[in-house]
Amino acid sequence: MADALLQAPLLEADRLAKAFGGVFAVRDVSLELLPGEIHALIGPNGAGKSTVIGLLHGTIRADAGGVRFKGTSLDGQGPAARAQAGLARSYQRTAIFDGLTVAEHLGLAVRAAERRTFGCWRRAGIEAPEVLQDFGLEALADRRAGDLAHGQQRLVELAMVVAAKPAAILMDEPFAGLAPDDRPALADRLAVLKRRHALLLVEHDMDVVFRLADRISVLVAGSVIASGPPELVRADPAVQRAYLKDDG
Amino acid sequence: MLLFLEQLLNGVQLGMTLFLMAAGLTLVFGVMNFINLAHGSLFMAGAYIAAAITAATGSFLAGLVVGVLGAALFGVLLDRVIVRRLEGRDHLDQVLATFAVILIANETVRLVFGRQPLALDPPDWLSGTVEILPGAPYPVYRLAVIGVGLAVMLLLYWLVMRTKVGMWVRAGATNPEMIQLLGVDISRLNGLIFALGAALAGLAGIVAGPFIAIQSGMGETILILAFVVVVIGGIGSIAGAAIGALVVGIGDTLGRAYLPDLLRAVVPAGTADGLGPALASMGIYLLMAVVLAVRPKGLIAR
Amino acid sequence: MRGAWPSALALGGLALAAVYVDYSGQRYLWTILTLIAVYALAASALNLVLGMGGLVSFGHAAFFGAGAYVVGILSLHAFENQPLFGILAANEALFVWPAALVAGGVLGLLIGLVCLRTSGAYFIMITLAFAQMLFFGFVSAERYGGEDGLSLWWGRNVLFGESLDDRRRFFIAVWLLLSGWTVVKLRLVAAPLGRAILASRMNPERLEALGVDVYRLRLLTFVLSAAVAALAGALLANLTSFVSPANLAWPVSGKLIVICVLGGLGTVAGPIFGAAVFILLEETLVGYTEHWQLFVGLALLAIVLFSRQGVSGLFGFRRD
Repeated sequence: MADALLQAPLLEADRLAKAFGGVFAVRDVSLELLPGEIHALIGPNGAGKSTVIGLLHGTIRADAGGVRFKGTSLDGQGPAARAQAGLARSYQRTAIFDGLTVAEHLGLAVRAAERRTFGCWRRAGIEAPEVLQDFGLEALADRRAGDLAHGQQRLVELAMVVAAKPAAILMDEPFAGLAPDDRPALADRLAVLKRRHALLLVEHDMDVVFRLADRISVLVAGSVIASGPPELVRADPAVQRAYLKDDG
Repeated sequence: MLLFLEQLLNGVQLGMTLFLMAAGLTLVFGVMNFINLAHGSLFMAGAYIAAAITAATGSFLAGLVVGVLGAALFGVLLDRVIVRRLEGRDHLDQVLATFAVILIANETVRLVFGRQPLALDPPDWLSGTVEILPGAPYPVYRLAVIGVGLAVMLLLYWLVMRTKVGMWVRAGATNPEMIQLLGVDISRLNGLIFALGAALAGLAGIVAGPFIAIQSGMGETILILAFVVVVIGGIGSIAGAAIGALVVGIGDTLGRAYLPDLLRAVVPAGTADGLGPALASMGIYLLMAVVLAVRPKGLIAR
Repeated sequence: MRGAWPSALALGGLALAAVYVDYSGQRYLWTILTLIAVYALAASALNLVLGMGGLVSFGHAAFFGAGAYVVGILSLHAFENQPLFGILAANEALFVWPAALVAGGVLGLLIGLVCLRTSGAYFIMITLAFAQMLFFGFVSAERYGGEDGLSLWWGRNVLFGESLDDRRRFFIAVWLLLSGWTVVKLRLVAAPLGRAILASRMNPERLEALGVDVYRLRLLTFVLSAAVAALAGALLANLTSFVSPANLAWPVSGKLIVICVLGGLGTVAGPIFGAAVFILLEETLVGYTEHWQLFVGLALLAIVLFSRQGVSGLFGFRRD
């Protein structure tokens, strides 16, 4: 973690603000994601976490403030451009391509990152076989993704994102709906992933968050009320007041 | 100048007819997410029934009433047999099914009434002209159509904005699941909306009857224009349909009347004579393209 | 059903049918067979956008008809010896047919640029509207026959100096083009572009989030589809020696969609089978009753209402 502190931030959000119909969902939010870390964003329901992810990902336009990635501004760029720059997103509800095989998912991601999507004559080849192996998906490589079990589909989704070798991944509640038995496996995987891909995690599962995260930012009513290493955040009275006490 | 006024009023009148078509279309799209290509067949049904009844009874009014009811009934039939089944399904399935209805309707009409167009004349008490300005006679019937259009606009406004049913409709357009949770029978509501749209389409067919040939396939040309109206005005918005309808009605009429001449002023006569009529008929679609380029979700975007 | 076998079967079937027709000596059968091949080409082009891309274009008649008019206009000017813009007039297929491809592509680009910014119901309505616009455009084109159309009574285009008026020779030319396009499409489907097009149908937002410019992808697909549809139109004009605005009317767009659906949206060979079934059905029904469209409508309605997998399910072709 000491290494992380010495490096320049990979992803920076600078005083982001967004209002929907006159109501501020997010106000004056500043965040940082350092290479090699897992930074968790927590907060009560309706605090604006999904909006922050949307703003960082480019699906929502900010009313104020900016986002910088690897030092360059991302303002005005949509999700596709941000993905090309190395900022990827993994989805809460499994978002895969039902009719394509597992291997084809990885192929799409890699080719998109390497700008080879428009090749039209030679057969689309297998890409990123090592990712298939890492995720234990070789046996399923030629299976249609829509036929797989839910848990397997989530793996495919994550594998697809990782295959493109993004520098940072935005994850919106990856543990949501996961059976308790499956949680440790995912947690271990994320711990390994963070070495190559910095992770910004929105999550509700407090056990997971406090064990996995290198840093935690707490979002309440659209603003960050605390940010820092887990022990500090846990002890912060403002956080306890606003969030940890009410959380069931 | 007087000629311009006449063309303008013609444009408004066309706009009213288009509004009657587009209002039903846009509601059905917006609330039920159902794309109905057979809306033109409802237009045709209204016209044919009215023509037949008027010919049989000698009364335009009887034709009007029965025609509107008949179109509404046809709408109910379509709703029960097709729309309810296909509501959640792919747009493609809806397109194919309603396209099939067009084929069936057009051919049935040929079977029953033959290929010769029917005639529907305005009633005596609406014929003749009236001087809207000194020296400017204008057909009474056309004014009546404008009047009907305005009346329907007001009626719809009252219905949607001031009644409980209207509230459900507005709510349903933005959040169908919610109103179901609140206990509203969504099937019945949708059925009502569809029937209302059908009645309006039928009415459009009847008021337009005296101007266009009542024959098989008469509904599709105006249907496509109604689509342009819905696209320009924005799906789900009746106000958008009203504005869009007037824009399209006036734009198309004035375009056909003045574009060829305007063109002659800018381009050599030979080319103008060749391009003029083409541009006049294509003009409104080009306008649609321009609107879309600037506002892809329509003028009154939701 | 992946792989080239269904396509080989379809094309082989057409070739076998040609042998039979040749043997039978009945000239009108050539017309039917060639009509099948032409509509197969047009529908196959549409299927790139519809079946693979998942976009319901109800305006492909615009490209189909425009291609037909390219033939009509160029050969009219050649016949009258009055080149358009001083240079354009030809009856040589090697010039006219690529010209149709280009015209279709340009038209597809112009229309696609606007249409593809929309989706869902809007897209369907707008494609329909643009096709209608072109329909009206050609209706007003008095120079080229206006509403009544143009009869190309001087004969078909000429290929490598030889007239294509010979029915067998013309069919072979059409079949070769259909086969060529089928091969291109098979390679395209298996290539990265094809995989991306399929993905854009299944989950466009996800594809966008992976870094693919879905708008550009769809535009490319649309332009290619329009170009080939226009080529098919050029072939139709040659087949019937007649060109009219009716070629661009909405029923033609509907017919192409029905053919695609009938044959199975998810396959390359589908449109060929669909064209065969539809044209043969049409020809048979026309012989029985003048109200054949009624039965086509009823059959189509029944299929849509009672087939949960959609029509392709009936033929056992599972959608990707």
